[in-house]
Amino acid sequence: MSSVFAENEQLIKAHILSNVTQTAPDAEFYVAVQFDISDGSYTYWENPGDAGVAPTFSWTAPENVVIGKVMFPSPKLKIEEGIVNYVYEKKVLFLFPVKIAKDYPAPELKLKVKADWLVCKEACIPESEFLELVIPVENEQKFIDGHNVYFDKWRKKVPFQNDDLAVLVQLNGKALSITGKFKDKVDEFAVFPLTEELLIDQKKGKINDDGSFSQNFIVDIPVSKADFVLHLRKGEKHYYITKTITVPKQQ
Amino acid sequence: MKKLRMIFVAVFMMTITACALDTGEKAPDFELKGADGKMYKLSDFKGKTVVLETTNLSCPFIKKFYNAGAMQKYQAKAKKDGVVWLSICASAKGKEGYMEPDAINKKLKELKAVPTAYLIDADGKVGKKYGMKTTPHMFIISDKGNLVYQGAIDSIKSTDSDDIPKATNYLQQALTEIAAGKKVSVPKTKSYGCSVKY
Repeated sequence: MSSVFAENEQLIKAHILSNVTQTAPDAEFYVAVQFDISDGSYTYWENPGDAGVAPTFSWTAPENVVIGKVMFPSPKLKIEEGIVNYVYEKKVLFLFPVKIAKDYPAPELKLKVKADWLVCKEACIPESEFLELVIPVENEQKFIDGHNVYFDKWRKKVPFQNDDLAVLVQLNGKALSITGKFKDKVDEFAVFPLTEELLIDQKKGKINDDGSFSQNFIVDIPVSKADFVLHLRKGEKHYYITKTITVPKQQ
Repeated sequence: MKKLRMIFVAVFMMTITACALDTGEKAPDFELKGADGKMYKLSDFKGKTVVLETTNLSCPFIKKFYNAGAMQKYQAKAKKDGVVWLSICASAKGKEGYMEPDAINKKLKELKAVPTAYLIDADGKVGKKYGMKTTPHMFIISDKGNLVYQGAIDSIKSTDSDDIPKATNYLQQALTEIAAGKKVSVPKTKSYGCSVKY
């Protein structure tokens, strides 16, 4: 699946980076693929929404090295002509945890990845990039200060479990309502379904008087469980949370 | 002015989701002009199984199937089995996928595509009535006029033609079951493709 355009004409420029200058046996660090997305273009989240497809990453790494699953940062909601998508614009960093085995034998580590994605402006184009990174393997691991801070900024946008969020679920026919109660009354919130069979109800969700927030979804195809990502904001603080709910049986 | 525009946008948005059809419902009739210049009504094909292919010949997901000769194979099989195949392009004028009849016919010939007809739905009325969201987005209407399948062609969401033989083909599965007089075992799946360019 090669791009029609010359490399420098692609709508997304992909780069590979790491947060270490050198690593060591038995160490752990992050490698990342950064997308610089042209103005007016976007690419897709893990659940692209009504259309599109999520980016994929195919790694080649030596034995004794384990590269973990891609960590998708929380997306943005985009609705055009009634078609809903969950997207990234401008820039996005996809982090991958890397673990080196105790007995890693070589003086360096070569990581290769083929990144494939669909980038859209008025039309959608599949693009691809081969990226490579060589990291020396020494006695001790050394972090790149600047990169560490940068990676941390993006790692914070990757949702994870948070026990300070309670969720109430109600099903009425095909209408599924999610009501969330967080430790603080939120100023802003967004709820994204990871489960593709759920469609977001395009009527905007609301913050209730008691401080809880509600968002409706349509169960387009029946499922028994559903995963969500929530982005909550309280003042300047942002929280990115994953939640799995049991979908009540349709009456 | 801004307020009016917002209300208009809201109505537009509601139209596509509110009118999405339930499998089992009567498929709404429609009339569209074909690239061949003739007018076609869904009701013209009463008594036959009809496949609707929401199409956009520039979309990478549509190209996935045409470049591999797969869509043409499905169309030829449909023709052989007495199934009507209507390719419907709901791209608005000026947007990706929209073509004038001459360009359409040239492209269909080049691709060796053999739909019963390629219909132009430039104002998107039929697309929105059916809840067409992606290209491709498939609909099968029984010979009794009911919607018996809607969704994806197959189970692997990608633009890679190599995935076609690896996937479960929901479209062929449904057509085989219909031909055997059986109930469609998977009547709805989530379609995948480019967004329809209304």
